Amino acid sequence: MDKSRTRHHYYLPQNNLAAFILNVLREYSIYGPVLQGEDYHWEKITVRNINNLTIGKYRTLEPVKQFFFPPREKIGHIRQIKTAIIGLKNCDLHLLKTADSIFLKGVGEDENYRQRRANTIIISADCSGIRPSCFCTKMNLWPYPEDGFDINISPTSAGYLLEVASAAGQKIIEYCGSLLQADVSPFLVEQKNNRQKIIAAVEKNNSEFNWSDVSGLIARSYDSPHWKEIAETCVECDGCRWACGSCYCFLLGEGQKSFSKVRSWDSCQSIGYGRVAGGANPRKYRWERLRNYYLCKLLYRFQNFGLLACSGCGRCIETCPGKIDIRQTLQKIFKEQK
Amino acid sequence: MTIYTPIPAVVEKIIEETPNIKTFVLRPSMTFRFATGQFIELTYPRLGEAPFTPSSSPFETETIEVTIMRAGLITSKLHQLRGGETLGIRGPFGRGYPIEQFAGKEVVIVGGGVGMAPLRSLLLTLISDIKKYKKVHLAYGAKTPLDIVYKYQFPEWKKIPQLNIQRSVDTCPAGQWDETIGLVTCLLDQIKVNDINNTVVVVCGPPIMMKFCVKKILGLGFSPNQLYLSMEANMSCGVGKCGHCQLGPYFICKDGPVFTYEQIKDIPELFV
Repeated sequence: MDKSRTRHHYYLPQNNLAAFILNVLREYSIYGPVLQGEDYHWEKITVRNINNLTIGKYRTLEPVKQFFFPPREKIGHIRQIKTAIIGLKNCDLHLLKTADSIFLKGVGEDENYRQRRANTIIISADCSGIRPSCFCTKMNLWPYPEDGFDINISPTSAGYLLEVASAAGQKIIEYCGSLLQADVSPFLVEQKNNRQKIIAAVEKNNSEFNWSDVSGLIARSYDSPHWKEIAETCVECDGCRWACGSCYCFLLGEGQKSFSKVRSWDSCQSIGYGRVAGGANPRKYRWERLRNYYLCKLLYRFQNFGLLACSGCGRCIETCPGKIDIRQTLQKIFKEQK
Repeated sequence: MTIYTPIPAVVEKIIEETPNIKTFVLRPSMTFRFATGQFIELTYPRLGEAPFTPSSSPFETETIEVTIMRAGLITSKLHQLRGGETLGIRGPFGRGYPIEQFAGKEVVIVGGGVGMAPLRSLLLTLISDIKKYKKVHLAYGAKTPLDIVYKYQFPEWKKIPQLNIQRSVDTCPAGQWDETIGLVTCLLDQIKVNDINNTVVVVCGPPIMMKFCVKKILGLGFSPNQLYLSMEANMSCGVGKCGHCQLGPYFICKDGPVFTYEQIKDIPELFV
């Protein structure tokens, strides 16, 4: 069933956006995308920069995981600040599902992650533009959210169509009564057309790639000679892992106080990642580690959670100084298996 | 208290097993229960943690023993301890040996070097109720007689009628060893089981030893689901979150460390 039919929709005229954001600020600290150069970056939104906040367009340069799983943190010391993240895209929402599955399910809940997730509301947005690296449709995702948000915003020519999916979202709507219009029917058509346009743009952007069934493709690729060749330009900078919104690996270390713990992001592309005392290493070579990251994202996590740990956000492509493009890698493997 | 917070444990006694292996007797600040084959994270405060499978009986809950070979940063620091220090422990983690499935069967335990540590815990568990099992065989190999761990316990184990012990050393100066000389795999030829279909084999040791033992054991006619392996890696968080001990689609810390060979036989990076 199409869930969006049973949800409430509201229309927010362009001129009321700042007032709407101010209402969200009443209860939440806000982070949202702000343009700097060509890219959108996460910034804390206050009354001072409220007009720089961009709803729509394309995803930020940095992944959204940092709000729930910061690059470095003390274990068990979390300041509970109610936070709203505004303007994250469907690719970001999908990547959070991997982190949710790891940190909230399985053996024990990760308390730091749980608290941050519980204290954050998600106000997502449709994409109204794309990056050359975007390929969500190749990963069976749409460039607009259908689930996993409190409120979703679809930009239209003269304002924003809001879709509310939770009680926390509805509460914000109630603050904003007079800013919103209840009659949304004219805008639903525009929303649909906009979405189709962006889907077409992403598809056109990736028309040279004809791979599909990525899990199957990767499952059969273990002995492919392409791994060595693709890894030749990798400089082990770990950039792809930091930029990836679904990477959850961390290094658990000792804090300054006895028995206190800190953790920081870790990368499976580093030589020491899998190494054990005495020096044995399950993935000694760079190409083995590169292959493992594709296996992890596209096969193992699919086997574990039934979802791909890649949403086609393309951040790893933009980050890589070695110009390794996941789409090209899959194309090579696809061609080889044909 | 989070899933990553250790509890204090005092080093009560240190037993020198071999020139590079020591057993640490730890007294946790509270009763600590584990199932045989599960592992713990041992914290050296302000330095780091490393995973070890307790080598003591799970029926002993006031103290816990870990047998540690000097191999890296943490283990070297642990080897410098004198006793009386306070370390931290977290756990227990993962899935241990499914001993309820061993009842009524013959159990062949194959250990190499310090890989005997988790197997001693298993052995002590089986010995505590040995009538439950048709027979227990222990095949243990070490590099030289000096490298044998738990030397002081073998005399009493040898007195147990339902327990068959075979030991080998890789090399030894003439006249100093009257048991088998050779790799641990050669002991498997000396162990005669009554009914191969009613037998399980448990292996723990260095990767190269595990690799050749698996080959040998399958060659003897055992099926992959009769064979249990302890896959030790660099487990860190212990709860399947940090990613380090990934083995194919598994995290050794939560899905293992004990696996049947059937579960993992198709993973290409198995023994490295």
